[in-house]
Amino acid sequence: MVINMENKTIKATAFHGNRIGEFFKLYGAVVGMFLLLIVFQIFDNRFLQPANLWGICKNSAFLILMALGMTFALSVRGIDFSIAQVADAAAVISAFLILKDVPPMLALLLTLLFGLFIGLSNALLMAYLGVPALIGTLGTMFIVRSFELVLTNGAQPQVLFTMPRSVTGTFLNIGQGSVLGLPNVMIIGILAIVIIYFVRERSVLGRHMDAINGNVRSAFLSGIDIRKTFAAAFILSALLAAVAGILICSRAGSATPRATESYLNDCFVAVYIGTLLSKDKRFNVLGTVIGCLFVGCISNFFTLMGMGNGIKQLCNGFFILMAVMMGTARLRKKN
Amino acid sequence: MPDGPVLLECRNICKAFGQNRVLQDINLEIRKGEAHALLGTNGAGKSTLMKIITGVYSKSSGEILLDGEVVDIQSPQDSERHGIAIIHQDQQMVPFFDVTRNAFLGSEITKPGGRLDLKTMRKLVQEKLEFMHVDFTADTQVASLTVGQREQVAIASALLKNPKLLILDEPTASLSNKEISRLFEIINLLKESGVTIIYISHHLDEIFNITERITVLRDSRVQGTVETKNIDPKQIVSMMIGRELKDLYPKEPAQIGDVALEIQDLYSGKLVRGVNLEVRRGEILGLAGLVGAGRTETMLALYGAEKVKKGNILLKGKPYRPVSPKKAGEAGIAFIPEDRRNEGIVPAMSIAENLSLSATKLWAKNGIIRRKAQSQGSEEIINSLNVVCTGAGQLLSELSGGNQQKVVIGRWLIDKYDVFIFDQPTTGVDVGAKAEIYRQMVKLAQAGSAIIFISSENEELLGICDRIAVMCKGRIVKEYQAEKATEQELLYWSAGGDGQEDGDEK
Amino acid sequence: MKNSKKIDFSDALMRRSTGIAMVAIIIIMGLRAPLFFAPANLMTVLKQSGILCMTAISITSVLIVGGFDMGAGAMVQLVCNLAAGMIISYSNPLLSWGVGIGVGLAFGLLNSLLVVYLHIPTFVTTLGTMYLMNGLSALYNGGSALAIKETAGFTVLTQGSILGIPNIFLLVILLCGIMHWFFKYTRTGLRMYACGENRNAAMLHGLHVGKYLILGYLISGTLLGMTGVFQCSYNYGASAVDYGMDFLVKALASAYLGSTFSRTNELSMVGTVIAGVFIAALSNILIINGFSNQIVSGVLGFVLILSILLTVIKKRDIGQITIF
Repeated sequence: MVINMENKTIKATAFHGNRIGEFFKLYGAVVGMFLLLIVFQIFDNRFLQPANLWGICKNSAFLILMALGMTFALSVRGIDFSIAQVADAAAVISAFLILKDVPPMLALLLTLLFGLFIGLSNALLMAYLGVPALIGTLGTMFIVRSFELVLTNGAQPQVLFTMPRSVTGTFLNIGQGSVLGLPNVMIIGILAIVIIYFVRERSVLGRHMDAINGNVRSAFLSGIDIRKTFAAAFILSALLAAVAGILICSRAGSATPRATESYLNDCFVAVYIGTLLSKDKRFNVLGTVIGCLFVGCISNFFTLMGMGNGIKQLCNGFFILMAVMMGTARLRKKN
Repeated sequence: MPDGPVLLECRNICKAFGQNRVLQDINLEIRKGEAHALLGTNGAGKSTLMKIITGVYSKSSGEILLDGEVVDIQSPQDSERHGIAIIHQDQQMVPFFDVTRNAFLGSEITKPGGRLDLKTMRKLVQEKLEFMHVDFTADTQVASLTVGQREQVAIASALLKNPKLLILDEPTASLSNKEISRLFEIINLLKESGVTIIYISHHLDEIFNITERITVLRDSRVQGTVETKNIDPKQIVSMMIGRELKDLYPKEPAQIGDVALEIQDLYSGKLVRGVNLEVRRGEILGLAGLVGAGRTETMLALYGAEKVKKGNILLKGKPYRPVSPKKAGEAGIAFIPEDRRNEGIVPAMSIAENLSLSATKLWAKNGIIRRKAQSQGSEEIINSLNVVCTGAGQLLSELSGGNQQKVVIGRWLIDKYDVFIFDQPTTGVDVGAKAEIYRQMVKLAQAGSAIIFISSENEELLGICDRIAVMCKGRIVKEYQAEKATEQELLYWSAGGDGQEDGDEK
Repeated sequence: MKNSKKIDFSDALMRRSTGIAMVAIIIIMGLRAPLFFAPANLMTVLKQSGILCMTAISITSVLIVGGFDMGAGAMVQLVCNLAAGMIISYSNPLLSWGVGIGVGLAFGLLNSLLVVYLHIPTFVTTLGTMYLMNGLSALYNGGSALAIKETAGFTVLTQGSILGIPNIFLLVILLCGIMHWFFKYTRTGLRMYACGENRNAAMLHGLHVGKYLILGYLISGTLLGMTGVFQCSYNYGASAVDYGMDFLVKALASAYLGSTFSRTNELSMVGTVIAGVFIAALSNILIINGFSNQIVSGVLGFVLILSILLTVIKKRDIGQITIF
């Protein structure tokens, strides 16, 4: 008992001194990001215009959906490389079906089923057969890509806006319409964030996911169904990707195969930046959302400045490495 | 040989970890060419002493002498240079390397340019293998060798460095009888060629078979050194246990009901070979035995964490098939694992979160965890188990071992279970927490659950249990009513009893 | 004892199962299009497998020591661009080699320092450097292809042939031989295997795992740099398309497929090359059989999954990526 009391006292004094340190550790990254945004404004004063910022928010919805899916996968020590490809395929499939005179709402449903199918396939490979997520989802990515190319006969864009509005109306309205001034895309995005937050951070499933992330064996022996929990991550990420794909197609009025693949890189950056915003550097929902907005700002800035893909990729690498270096620095200090 | 010159001498070795005195005034003499047994219950100090001799730990005070001269051993490399080698229970090898490569890993012989001199290495290894009369060659791939053969490879690897002293730490834990006799032959060969052996084991029959002298450690001190031929097993056991049972076991009687769990002829993996067991409501059944006896494995099979090969289980009178821990929990079986750090806790999660893992649904409504239910529930458990912490939100990694264990137990107090399995719940736990854990077990028994208590500290089994079953080599060999048992008898039967073990299991 | 003969036979069968499956696939598909077996086509297959095998050998080097490299393909691509640029600007192949190996070493060093000294998991580290390399490639070539013409002493290395066998494949055999010898018959190679296969055993034997990880990344970085220069030679320059991930997947598939050839599932150079040739043959045979290019990458994904499935299915874990 005496020893424990000593520990308690030591902890108390350390806590006071660390207050300021704690603030910076948690919010230092946010402060850094804000500073960067100000730098952007200095370079190009169109950046912080309300209309520009509003546009960034609107455009982030797709990335947010995909990045949340990736957050699920990464937060159980998995990963989903196929997520952008599934979104890509979902966009293509929904357009393809509508072009083949399938009623739009049915096409939407079938596309979601496609997402579910891929999710189940990934779940089977990773959770029940034990294929390492890295390899398994890379494989799925390539298989889905092939499927898309064959379906569209060599990457032909599936163009919807040339079809009569009476047919495509409801479908296109999802991505292009708005309710009371708020674009549908944003509404869906916000809804998704709220739902995903509760599922991942507050639900029984989320708790079980935290457990298998922390220690699989302990989770297993405490009675958690580790396979089902691990599988859920992949099913959810594929479904989110499918929703993202449908939105992308609906918003643009067309779907070009392979156009969405580059979202994968942004997903990684957003999710890893998001880890800086949690107390113990874990993958988390709200951090990912902020990471997405940040990535959106960077993309926007590059577009305003006319900078190309090269700089973008360099920044991706830089931000990811920075994020993990800051993350592991904190962990190393602890040890 | 027994009266020969001294190879290793320990003078007044002391070792303390903070306030915890693990070794006190250890004085020991190992004579050249003998096989010297080191005996003691868990926590007596054997492995700490060996770690000091092999350079893993540093001593707090005292001297080590080799061949009469004081030596300074600060690292495993130092120890190796002085001719000391140790064979551990769990030999780590690279499976696809052949014997030669594994034996020489880290001290390879090379030709100029970094090329491996396989011919020379192979020859040297083969020499050692032939010396030991093993039934494989230096070219055999280690993946195809049995545990016993891998141990032989480890011994060969140690011999390549021409050690003066070879320490064997629990060398027979996973060996078949045939492999054990092989090992004894090798030990005799080694003794003849002048190698001195320190033999650490709980198996009294083995010690009486091949050692010349025995040193018994008890409570961090040397209890005595005797000649093997001048003593018998029962006397040795009394040397290992000397003290009176203190009254730190809050045992209270509970009403014993009908049979809650019955295990019939259970077979699982390699270590569970026909277990028959039954526990009643309100009863605390102790499961005694040595490491490798199969106790944990039996319980893991019951809990659905390991595959069952054969056997029947009746839970509350109805047939029960173990499928998974999740189903076991739903059926009413709770399990507190042996290895708290790697199998019990999730270090990065808080106390409340850890508590919620087994019965998460009880603190949730519509799938979402209710913060209020969680905090109230956690506070209740923290208070009833006296968990010392800054609050339910504290990370488990920051708690002491005893308090971590309480949290692992607390996980199973949120819902009602009929059978509780406690696997070595008090290892590495301070006295206060231990008492708390015993209290909890008694409370659960009084509430009508059946408790199975695995422990390697026979004293606590005697203090808390109603009945004690002893397991050896995968079977229950003896059962006692707790009042009628003694530590000596438990140790005796754990080590094989009359030595009437049947046949060769291979 | 009487069971051992039976076990040996089914054991041998299991070990050869991957090999048998591979041969079976080739034969079945070859029957549909016998053109595949024409000597000229077989040589083409060997030629087509060249760069793939080189990349695979490079990544195997770092996999053996327990590391991982997401950026293997990105490195080849970057160096290819730089090498093409050197040839276009200075017409000097030696400069290409210098730059190629230098860049390879530099990124190898960067990766290893991040992994060993900053303790960043290998996956994220190499993911980050992969993006850096992709960025540099894009900046360097400005989005367009960098084509080179037939250059003396340069393009012949990959385009020519000796006695009918493509030069590039001879180079693969040479490289494979050297790396195989290094990993199987030198002390350093042996220790690197130990670090990757059983880290605990390595540490217990007094090996410093970090040191060998650094070495692994340096070796693989150098090899990838060389591969990039060879790619420039083979492809007559650098294309504008981003094929980094494609290369990575093929290289990984070769390495893991190659590891299934042995009972203990260890990685080996020879296995990797055989698997690499198989994957090239598979692409070739699919195209001959009338399948479009688009199907090929899907089949590749399938082969990748299948190859790793064979090695993990016994373990019954869930597929978490704790090592990476």
